[in-house]
Amino acid sequence: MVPIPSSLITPERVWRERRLWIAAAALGPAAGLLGAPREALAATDVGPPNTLEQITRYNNYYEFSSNKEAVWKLAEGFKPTPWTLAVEGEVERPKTWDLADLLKRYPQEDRVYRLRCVEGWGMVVPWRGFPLASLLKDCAPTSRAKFVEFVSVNRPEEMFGQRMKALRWPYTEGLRIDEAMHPLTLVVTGLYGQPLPNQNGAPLRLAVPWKYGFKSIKAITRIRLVETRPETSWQRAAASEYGFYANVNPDVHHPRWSQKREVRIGEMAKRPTLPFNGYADEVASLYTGMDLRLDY
Amino acid sequence: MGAPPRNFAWLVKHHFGKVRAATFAAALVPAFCLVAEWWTDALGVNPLNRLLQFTGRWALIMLIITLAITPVRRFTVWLAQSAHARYGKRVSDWNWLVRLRRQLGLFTFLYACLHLAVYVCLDAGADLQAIVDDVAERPFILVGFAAFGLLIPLAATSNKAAMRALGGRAWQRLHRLAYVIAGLSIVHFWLEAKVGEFKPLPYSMVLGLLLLARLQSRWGGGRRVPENDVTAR
Repeated sequence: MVPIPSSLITPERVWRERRLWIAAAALGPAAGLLGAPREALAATDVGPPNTLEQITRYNNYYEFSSNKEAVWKLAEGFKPTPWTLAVEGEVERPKTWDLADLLKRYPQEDRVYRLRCVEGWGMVVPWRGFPLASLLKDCAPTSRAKFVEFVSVNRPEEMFGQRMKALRWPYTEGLRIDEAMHPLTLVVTGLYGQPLPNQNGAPLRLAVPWKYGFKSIKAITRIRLVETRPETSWQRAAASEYGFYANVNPDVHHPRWSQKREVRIGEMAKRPTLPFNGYADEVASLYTGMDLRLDY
Repeated sequence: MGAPPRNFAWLVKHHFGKVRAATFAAALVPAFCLVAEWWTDALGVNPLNRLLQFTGRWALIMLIITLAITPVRRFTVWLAQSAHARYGKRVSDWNWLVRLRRQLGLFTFLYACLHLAVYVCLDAGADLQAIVDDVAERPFILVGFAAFGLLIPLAATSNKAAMRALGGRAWQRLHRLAYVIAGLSIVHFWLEAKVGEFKPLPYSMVLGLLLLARLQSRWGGGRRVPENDVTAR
């Protein structure tokens, strides 16, 4: 075996420093905004955020490509406006929102969340958005609303990857109602204080930080409250690999990627993966009494 | 007796040291490219992934080149013989390629070692428990280790002393394991490929063709080209 000389490993620190530099530069005016909610919402330190460059050049977005480094380019032709979001199903007040009205109605806040992809990498992302709970409460879910189904956009003419049938389009995801109402669950409208870039799921996506990234559906057009558990795109593709809950869990194996550790983008070596991606204090109580190795 | 014709075969034969050195240098080019990428911070957003994929890919490419030598040589011998029979022309065959094969096989081993080193040191953090867990949890890692394990005896016997000690026939039989290693590598690659990706497809097709050529030469009709004595140098 050929050992890696330590001189070759040094760049890890250089990488980290560069990341901090760019993060500081990019944050600049927004730094004040970012501080407060982060302290308030995440007791655990999420670590320094990744750079805008890292966040916008490494995107797992099958609608464009399964190649994460090609997505930003392929997404250039996507048109995030005009956009409507329909909230329907088991609600007393269904409503179709125009994007601009939605942004006016719900005040945006900045939150720095960890993101853990099922493919064994992670980032720290300064999202901007509003709690999904505020939107759902305004629509008054009925007593039959047990789950929430999210449906993404279907535009094969603008989304190159949708011309391949790797997944069922449009992409669908789902949450249990209490997960959807959890204060950490965010409807994301921006990144680093700017409108959301196309490759990150413009104009509206979810951020569910204690679950694998594929639960945080991008480019949402429809939110449907339903009584039975919806089938998600990834469950349909490979139910044994991608469960409905998909909570970040080092004890549930995946055949291709280790879920015990992850590479934080910007670092060279892997670090341990935390249960619920480090949000156990906030969300573990949602699952009391469940065996999460079976309900993965 | 006049001077021998100074054709391509003659040039190669009389400057074989240079041919070997050039092959050596060429086989190192990918490794140097990767080191250059590392030093210039050009490994991309996920450097660990780049290192793993690059080294694995080149180990497989080197293995394919190594396995392609005999079929290519057979083809050129056939070509030379038919050209001679038909047009009375002498076309040199490329038997000298065989003399590069051991070296290319060792480069396969080098890239496989780099691949394993990146996995052990950076991915698994040099933690034995992590590696044991990986082998238990992820079949493709087990298959990768099997392929690497089989490469070791081949690399260890890729020298004249081992060839002589084993004898040509036994040595050849042992080194047919290269096909098993190739099969395992392809399985490793497919198991690692994610839903909707077909990166292993071109490699699988080339290896399939090489295997067919091998079977054809063994059982198929047509003239049999006598095996060179591989121990002769």
